[in-house]
Amino acid sequence: MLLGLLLSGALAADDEGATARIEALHKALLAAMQCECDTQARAEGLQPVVQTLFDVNNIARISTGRAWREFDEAQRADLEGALERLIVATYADRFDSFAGQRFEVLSEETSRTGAVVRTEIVRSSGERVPIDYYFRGDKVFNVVASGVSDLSLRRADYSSILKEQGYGALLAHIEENIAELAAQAE
Amino acid sequence: MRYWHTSKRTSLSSLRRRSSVCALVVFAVCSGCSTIPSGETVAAYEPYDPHESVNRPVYGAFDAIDRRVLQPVARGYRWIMPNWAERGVANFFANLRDVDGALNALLQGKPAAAAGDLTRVVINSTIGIGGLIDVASDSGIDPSGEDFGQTLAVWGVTRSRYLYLPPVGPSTVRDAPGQILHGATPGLLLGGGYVWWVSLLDLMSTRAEALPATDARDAAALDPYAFTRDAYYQRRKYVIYDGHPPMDDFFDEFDDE
Repeated sequence: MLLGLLLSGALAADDEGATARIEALHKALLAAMQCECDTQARAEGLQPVVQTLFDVNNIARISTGRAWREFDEAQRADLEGALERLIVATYADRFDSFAGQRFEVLSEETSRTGAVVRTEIVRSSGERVPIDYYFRGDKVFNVVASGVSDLSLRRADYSSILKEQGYGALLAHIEENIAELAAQAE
Repeated sequence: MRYWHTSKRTSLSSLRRRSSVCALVVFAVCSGCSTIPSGETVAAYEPYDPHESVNRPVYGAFDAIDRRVLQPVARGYRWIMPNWAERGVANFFANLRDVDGALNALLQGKPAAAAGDLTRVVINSTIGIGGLIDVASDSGIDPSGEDFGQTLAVWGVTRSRYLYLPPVGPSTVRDAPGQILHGATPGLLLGGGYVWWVSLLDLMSTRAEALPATDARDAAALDPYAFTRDAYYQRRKYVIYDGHPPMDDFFDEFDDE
């Protein structure tokens, strides 16, 4: 019986379309913004939705470019883990207070790699910030905010560190970044 | 940061002369080297930075000044100014720059956008008390945001070399003349009414408005120079396409699966 319930829950999640998945993210972000809690608690609240929504494997692979092929399995897993924690920490840092913002899903389109969900964050001033989510299967591998692609930015940002200082330095920088985000929001 | 400015008292004519000479020089440079040498392939609107060995140290030096002087001053400005006053100052300069937007919309063959910008200037300069209140946006007339760099892109200069140009900030050979003109627009339009400290106010307001973006860069970037450059090229592509650039779905990255 319990197993049946768990299975039906899992199947329902698989059936969810891209738009429904983004709406779940919006709900989690609103909850994070409205919760009277510290960064740690906000991050813990966001972690499950980030884990199910974001394709950290492809994010890590594409953002490290050719260097990815040189990494062994353990290095790849560590990098994916660090990127997931970085995404959670970034969301917990940026969505830390509520001032009447609204999330709107505008449309869902199809690209060669999967669905693209176009959304807007509407600030209380009326200012609209367009955010597009690019899906591969049922997971998001890129977020484009006001025309600026997170994946492209990440690739540009990591490129020279990888080339000049290697994997260890990149991972250390990402860990440092996560620690800074957690500390600065306190 | 989109500015060149002078803190010295200058006569209007010398200001005008200097800005037009500047623009002409940069334009001459622009037409000379905005084309990519044969044999090199750079996709349109992709970052192209053959002078990184110069740009990177210039970025580093200006960033040090920015952190020590401009950022603290801009934060102080934000702290002192009530929100409505800060908005008013930003609106005042944006209103004057809508004239630049209108001109460039026209140069790009977008008469409706040009008319929109001019309507904004008329409404905001009158009902909006000299541009202090952005009544036009509240009525649904948004600025076109066009500039001369976008005009050149529409005219065919799609690929352009990266330039880090203090105090303007990230730029390209194609965008620099427009950015300089854009910075000088209030001075050119206000004529005799333009006094030197208005430039300082304009600079502070612009830097204060850019704080969220540079704070986001500082929170996220491991290589701030490369981060700024990539963000700049992406953002320019987005505005050149008026917010509807071709979709980049990273299709090639999934080829080998």
